[in-house]
Amino acid sequence: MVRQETTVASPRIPLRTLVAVGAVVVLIAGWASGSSRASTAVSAPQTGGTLTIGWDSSPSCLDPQLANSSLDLSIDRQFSDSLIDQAYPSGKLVPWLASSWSSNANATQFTFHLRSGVTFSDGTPLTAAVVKANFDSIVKLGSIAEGSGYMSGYKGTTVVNPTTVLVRFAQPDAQFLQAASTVSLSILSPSTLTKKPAARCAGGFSGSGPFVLSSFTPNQQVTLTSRPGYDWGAADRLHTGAAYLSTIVFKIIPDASVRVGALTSGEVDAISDIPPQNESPVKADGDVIVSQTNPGVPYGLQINSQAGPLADLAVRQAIQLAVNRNLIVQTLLTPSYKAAVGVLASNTPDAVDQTTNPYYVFNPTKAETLLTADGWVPGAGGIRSKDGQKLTVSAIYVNLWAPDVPILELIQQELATVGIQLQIKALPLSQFVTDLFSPGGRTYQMIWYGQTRADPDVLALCFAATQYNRSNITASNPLESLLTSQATTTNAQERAAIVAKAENTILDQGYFIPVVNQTTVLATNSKVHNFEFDDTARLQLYDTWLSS
Amino acid sequence: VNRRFVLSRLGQSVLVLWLTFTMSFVILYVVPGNPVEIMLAGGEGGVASAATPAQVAAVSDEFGFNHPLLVQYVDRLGSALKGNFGNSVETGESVTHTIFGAAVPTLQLALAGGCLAVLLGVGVALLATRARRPWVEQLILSIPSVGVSVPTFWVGLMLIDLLAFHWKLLPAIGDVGLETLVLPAITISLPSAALIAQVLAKSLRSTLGQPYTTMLRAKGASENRILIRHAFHNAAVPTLSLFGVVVGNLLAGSVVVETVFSRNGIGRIIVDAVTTKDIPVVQGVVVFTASAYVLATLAVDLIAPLIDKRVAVAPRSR
Repeated sequence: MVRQETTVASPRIPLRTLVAVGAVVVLIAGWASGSSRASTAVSAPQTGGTLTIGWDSSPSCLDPQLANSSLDLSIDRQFSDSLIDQAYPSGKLVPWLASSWSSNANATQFTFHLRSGVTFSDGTPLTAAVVKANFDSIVKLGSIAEGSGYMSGYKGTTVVNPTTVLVRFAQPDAQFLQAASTVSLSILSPSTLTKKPAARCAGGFSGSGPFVLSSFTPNQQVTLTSRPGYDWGAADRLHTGAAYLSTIVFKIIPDASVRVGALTSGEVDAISDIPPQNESPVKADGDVIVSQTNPGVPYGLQINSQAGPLADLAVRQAIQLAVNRNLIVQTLLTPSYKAAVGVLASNTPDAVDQTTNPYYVFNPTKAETLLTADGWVPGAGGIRSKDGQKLTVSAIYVNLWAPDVPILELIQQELATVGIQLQIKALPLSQFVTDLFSPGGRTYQMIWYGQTRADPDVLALCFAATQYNRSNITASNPLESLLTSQATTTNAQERAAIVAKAENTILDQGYFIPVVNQTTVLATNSKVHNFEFDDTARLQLYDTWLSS
Repeated sequence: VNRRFVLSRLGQSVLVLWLTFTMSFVILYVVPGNPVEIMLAGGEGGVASAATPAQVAAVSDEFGFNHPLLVQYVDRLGSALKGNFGNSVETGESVTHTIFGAAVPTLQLALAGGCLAVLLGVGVALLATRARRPWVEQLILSIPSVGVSVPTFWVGLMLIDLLAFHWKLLPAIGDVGLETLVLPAITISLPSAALIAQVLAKSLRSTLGQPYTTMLRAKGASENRILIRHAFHNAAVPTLSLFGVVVGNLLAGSVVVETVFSRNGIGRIIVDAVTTKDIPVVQGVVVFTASAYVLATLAVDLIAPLIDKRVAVAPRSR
């Protein structure tokens, strides 16, 4: 089973957020504010300096393979390298620790040829045996290691020669190459693998990344220093050699308004997780808003297709037609956020732009026609009913992001205009998790959430009957066979075609109502350049530099 | 001090701590949501993923969550008596270690905040009592009510905005160095200062109304002398009994103040542990704060008779 990070409406309570996200700096916002500081001409990169980032939560785990929160993974990305890198925004896989790779026809075997001259920060060189030890260890650790979810059906790794490994799976696993680019499957020194998880999380690990951990004080700060002699950046990096920055400090500042104040007063150079209402003071100060869409399934309502009135296709389609995504984004969010263009965020590989799909286009009249034709007639209080059953549906959510409630309330109003009554129910995190993952339970009718992953396999994760199956489909559903075959197809074009079919089926059948892209919003002052993310939305600060 | 009194107060304290442990155990296990599933789901803000039942079972086993509740209770109580509250489900670190690491900055904050609360509280009370005109006295006495009703986080944010970000006089973030203590200490002291001022002002007024002060005045003692040497001494005992409440206030205030001022401490640990349902940590912190509260109350009960002999008589006469 593939484990993934589900973003429940990104940020948490004001203090906690799911920043995740990757992307090359999107300068538009700060730029549009017409600030002279933001538009300073970019000259040649400068080496050295300390980048201080106001970060909203203290890391629970610093070990790249064992961390599981997005914020932790963004810090941990700096410590380790992966076999492959996924370039942003193309989503293309490019060489990193592996200079080349190949797979067999049915995607059960993957061969990696390793780059030479790579060492871990403890001095150990990277060899085929080290890669094998890493994969074996991740699978053995099971769910404690986030990457074990990408390795289901793992049969073993063969050391072909000191610089070549062969990774074998019991069944086809087309998503594995993308998975090999994640932080969770990054490669660590063999000495790390024998240590206890708690010791590793507290900093007892050694990676091959451009930065090393220099100190960590819980709830205070994490300090990283550049590793001299580093010279094996991924093929899509902008420079070679050691990182430009000499030090990175993640200063833990849990309160969003204090973070914003710290940035505007010059106490820090960058901050994570800016709530929409705090964007304008940041821009007014001449700082740069950096936002990126998380790849994967955007925020939206996933429908339990067997719950109450939602078992009725016409009802699901009517909901799809009655939600005005653009209005939601325009009235409740900032230009950093974009309406979802389909059931996959546009920067997910194989994502199809579904904005012209007849079920995506906002059309409340058509929604009403569908409902009337299906026997749902207007009743008391404008709520439709059929055979005595009222058209009342409910959605659960966890209030982690300030706009959650206003968005759901707006959807509530939109559905009311076509005669559907929506009840929204906030759950505590613990209850929400239980509901989201209780196999067979599925006590909800709809869930408001999003799921990050830079591979279309995320659809299988959320929709396949054999996985989380949050739409409660049966194994004989045509969608199921599409989701199964995309996982086993290695030909890129063939796989894209199957994924496109699955996306359209999900939208047409009303299994998921996409609303707004999951978006990570950060800000930097104008001295920070190349503040970047990888394709899975983790910070990638190797090319980042500070101008004086 | 009477030995029986001391022993019975000690016994009560132990009873309170045992009840605290037991109730926290019951409550934490009645609340729905499997802690292991939540941990495997990524805790923090990232509701990551579900684990297979086998994985949940393996981790439950590691933390002993799959034993019968009574067995878990006895095990955990036994370890707790030895100062071992197990390991954090979230970080894997020892709970005792985590709490002691966080207790240092919280104690610094509480100590600074407590001293400030006493200075401010006593100052306001004395000032009000020495006011010559009744309306001035009323005005000064209304300050504490304002202090109690203004939310701590708002005070903190205002102080940060003006003194740290705008005028750059003091740091707003962190807990390293004495200067980082100033703003948080002011913020955390206000509710307690208000409480002390209210109680002390009231007892001063009733003490000053007693016949012996008239007698002192007749003997020619100055108002200041009467206030400081005589009335204050007698009015101090009811105020001293607030000590336990003030300790409770300071610990509760640390939850907000440590978050607003980005400090490490017990308050931050509570917030994180409750959010991630990190049962061992929550229980450890609950018992820790209860101990602090119980110790403070016990200290007051044992010290009060030394200051005012009338208090020592009370338990014997019962």
